[in-house]
Amino acid sequence: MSTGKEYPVIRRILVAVDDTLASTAVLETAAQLAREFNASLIGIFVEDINLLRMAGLPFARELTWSTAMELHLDYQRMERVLRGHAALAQQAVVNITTRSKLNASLQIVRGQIAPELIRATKNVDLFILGKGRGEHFGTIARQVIHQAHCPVLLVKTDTRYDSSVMTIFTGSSRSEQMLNTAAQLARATRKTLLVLIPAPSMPGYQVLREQALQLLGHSSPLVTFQSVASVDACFDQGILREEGVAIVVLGDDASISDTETHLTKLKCSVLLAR
Amino acid sequence: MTKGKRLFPDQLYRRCDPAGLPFETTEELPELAEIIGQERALDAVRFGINIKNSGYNIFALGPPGIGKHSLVTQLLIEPARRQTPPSDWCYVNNFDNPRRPHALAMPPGKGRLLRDDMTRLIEDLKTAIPAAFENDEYRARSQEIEEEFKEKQEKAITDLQHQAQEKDINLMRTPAGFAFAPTRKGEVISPEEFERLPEEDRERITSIVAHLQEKLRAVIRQVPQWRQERRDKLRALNREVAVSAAEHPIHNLRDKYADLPKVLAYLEATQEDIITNIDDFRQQDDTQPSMVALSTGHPSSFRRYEVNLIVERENEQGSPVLYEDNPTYHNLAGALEHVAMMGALLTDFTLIKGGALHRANGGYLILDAHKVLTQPFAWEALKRAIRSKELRIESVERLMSLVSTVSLEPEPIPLDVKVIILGDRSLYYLLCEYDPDFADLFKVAADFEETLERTPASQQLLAHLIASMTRRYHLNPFNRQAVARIIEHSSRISGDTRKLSTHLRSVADLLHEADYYANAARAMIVGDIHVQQAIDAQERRAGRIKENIHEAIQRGTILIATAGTVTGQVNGLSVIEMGGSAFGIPHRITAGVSLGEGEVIDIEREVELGGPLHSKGVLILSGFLGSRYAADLPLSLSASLVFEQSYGQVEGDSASSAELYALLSALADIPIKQSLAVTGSVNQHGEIQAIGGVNEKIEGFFETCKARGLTGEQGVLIPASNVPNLMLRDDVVEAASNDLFHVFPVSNVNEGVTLLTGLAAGEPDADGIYPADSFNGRVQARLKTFAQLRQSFTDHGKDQLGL
Repeated sequence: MSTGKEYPVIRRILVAVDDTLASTAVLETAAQLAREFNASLIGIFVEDINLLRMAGLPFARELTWSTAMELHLDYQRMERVLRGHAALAQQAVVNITTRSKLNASLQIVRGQIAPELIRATKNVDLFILGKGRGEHFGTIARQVIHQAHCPVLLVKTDTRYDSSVMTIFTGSSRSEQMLNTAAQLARATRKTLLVLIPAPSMPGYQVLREQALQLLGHSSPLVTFQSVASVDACFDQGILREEGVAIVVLGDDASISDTETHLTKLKCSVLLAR
Repeated sequence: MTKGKRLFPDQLYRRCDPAGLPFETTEELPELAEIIGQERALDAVRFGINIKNSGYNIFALGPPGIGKHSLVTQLLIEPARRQTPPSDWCYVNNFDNPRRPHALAMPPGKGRLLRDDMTRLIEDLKTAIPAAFENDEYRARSQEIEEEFKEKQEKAITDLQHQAQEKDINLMRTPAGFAFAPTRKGEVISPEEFERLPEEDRERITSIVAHLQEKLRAVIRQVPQWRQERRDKLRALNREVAVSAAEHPIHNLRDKYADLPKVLAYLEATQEDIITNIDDFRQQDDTQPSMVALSTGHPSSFRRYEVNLIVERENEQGSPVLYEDNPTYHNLAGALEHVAMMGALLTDFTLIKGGALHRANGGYLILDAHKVLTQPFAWEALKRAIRSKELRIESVERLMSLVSTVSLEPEPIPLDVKVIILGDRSLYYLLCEYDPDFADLFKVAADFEETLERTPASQQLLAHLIASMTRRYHLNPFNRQAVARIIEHSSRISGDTRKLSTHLRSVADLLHEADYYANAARAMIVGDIHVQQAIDAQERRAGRIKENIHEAIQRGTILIATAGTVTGQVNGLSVIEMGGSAFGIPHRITAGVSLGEGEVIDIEREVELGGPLHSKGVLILSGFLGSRYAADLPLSLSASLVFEQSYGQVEGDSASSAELYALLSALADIPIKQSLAVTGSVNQHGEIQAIGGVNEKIEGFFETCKARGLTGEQGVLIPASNVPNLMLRDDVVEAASNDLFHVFPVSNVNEGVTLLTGLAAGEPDADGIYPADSFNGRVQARLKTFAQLRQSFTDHGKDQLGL
């Protein structure tokens, strides 16, 4: 890089797996990225200790979602269920490994889900998590994105666009990092890089554009710049759809306020650089 | 044998003088538009065509080959051309009841237009509808409905979660649903910890959890209701989008067919159906119609919008004139075709096939009686259609209850057709006799003449016809000698010197064959030799059996005497008809007499080889004998009559005069000249009556005599009333002119007897007694002897009995 800064190369990718269908799709995406980065893939399955504890309580009952039927819960049954889920996750990882000829493994840990996941991010370069919806995002994903030790990619699997990687460049050091991560991702996944520059005036935009170009250096992927009026305008669904944005790269940039709101709104995958 | 009033050669054959024909070759003659000699039939057909009342369908009756079809077609062309072309007919789906497809009448040529428009409409909608559902607006709105539903669910859960959290209880997702658990610092307390809690805490927690569970249950029970609401909203949205997508193209069609109310109604129904079944357009996997859909008569998704054009009148002028060559039930009345699918036979409105009646609707349908009557159900179907004035398509299998597969009941189509049936006279009369509906439905009989008066004018007309035919069939022109020969032949076919045959096919055949011989001889113009060659060749081709019989006669296998005299034996003549050709052969007829009780035994009848007409002829003989010779005496003879060497059926009474001569000769014991042959029937008064096939009979005997050498004594006795029928072959006429063969017209038995025996017949006196030396006197004397003998036998018998 022309600035001389060194950014970590992605060598180890951690992916959270559970027993749901969505998780399989996330695993697929993770495997694809692992291939593109030539990285190793580590799956993690957390057996929720809360569930086990709850099942042990004398009044434990579960109400089924589809029929509102009351089912008795006990510790053994819950253990059995979790073991089954772990086995499914294991099978999914094995399948992916065989198919993609990847170096992959699965860790099965028992504990509180979010803390276990955060702990696991210590030794990896990228953590991939299903973006999910609502409640799920609210609890576990929220904790993870704030406390993870590596960049986190929240994968949205049902998006239909896949031609570019978008990031926002404000000139701050955080946004430099974002730009770099985005460039790395675009290069690896052979996508176009779209850099949105929130600048009120043309000269301001020109300056930032030059700066960004310099940062990207010679090895830059196919890059397009676009001037937007404000940071909020960057999350305009119109632009994202028009450009076919698959992944938005964000970071803890102070100028990008209220990351969490943007996260819930965005209909594509989001990479949080750090 | 020059005695007797024999016929002159010019009476044996009526020539047509070529000099009387005012042309050299047929090339000079104009075309003949109409058929000759069929005025009666023409009038009938014209009447039938023009009268509009129902039931005035036409039956054209006459022998095959007489030109019924050509005449009817010719007469129909003009009126049909003047009429306005009738409607196109389509079958379309009945969306309310697919088993009863609707019939749509369209102005001529518009049927195809509608079909193509509908195909295009569906093709357009196949892209327009998915596009309407792909657009952002729809996506946003359906997303909104989805979100609303999810939000409702989430909100309910989140609310519950908050309520729980306030009491340090956590709402948790479990593998199958939700559960509540008490927490401390965000973590679920373990069972051991729970056990360590004071009693009242545990009870409190348990009751809170039970209370929360109740609330959760209420939430979960709400979900199906919300789901239903979501579905309703989505459906309403889909309908709204579908209506807007389909509205424009269908509106265009509505403008286009604004003057056709039934089409408008159909478009309306189509639009409604498209909107209801919008998912078909969104998914479009129409490769295979579903079994369930078909088995209930529902056409598969896109097929149901097709238009089945069963009658199309594009580029047609006037009303249709249709000849159905193969009038099977299905070809006439239409069919419901089926497709086999997974072992079942299925059908829908696109498999309805129109029949000849559909295509001829509004015009004329020509059918062959024999064909319609021999096709199962065709005749009944035809009558039903004419009577009910509507076309109903029903499958025969269903009518007969042979199969019980899913079938349709298409809407009937109003029928307005004039049916012309061509057939034999026998069929016509049989139908009149046995089919009670026939007279109601076919009120016009167009009876075709088989002959027409032979006059110079009609001969000229025939020449014109020949000219037209040579042109139509691209034959060489015929010179007038050839035409004259054809006229003569036509007379011979008609069997009457004063008539010409109207049998067009035999004329056409003769023209073709004569043309063939002319071509073979490299002649540019067909002459009388070629015509003669053709006639001879026809005879030769059919002549195998005739020659075999004549050969048997020459060899003496069949005994026929042509010279000398024999008592009780005479040469009779018969005609054998086989496959359209006829020839005459002589037969030996013998009679034997003895004393008896007045009966004449017909041996042919006794062995059941004689037909009823023949028996009648023989029975007349005893009547004649009794009344003429034994009016006041019991007729006391027993006579037997036989056709010698006849091993087949004998029918007709044309030999009854010959039988009488043989019988009289046997009674009078006076021999009959074997150089003569006899034909003619006789009545009780001894008058000789006309018979058929006189030419063939004379020629038959002539051939036998000719083969043995003509003596000048030989000849044939024919009924005087048959003289106008004589059109004898050239060689017979030539022999007659050279005094080598004779034809004698005979009008009563006395003339015949005189010719055959050379003895005067004799006239009775006032008491009815004939001169003793006359022929009749000898007969009378013999009968009297028989009567006396019989009387003496009777007396003798009484004596013996002591009476």
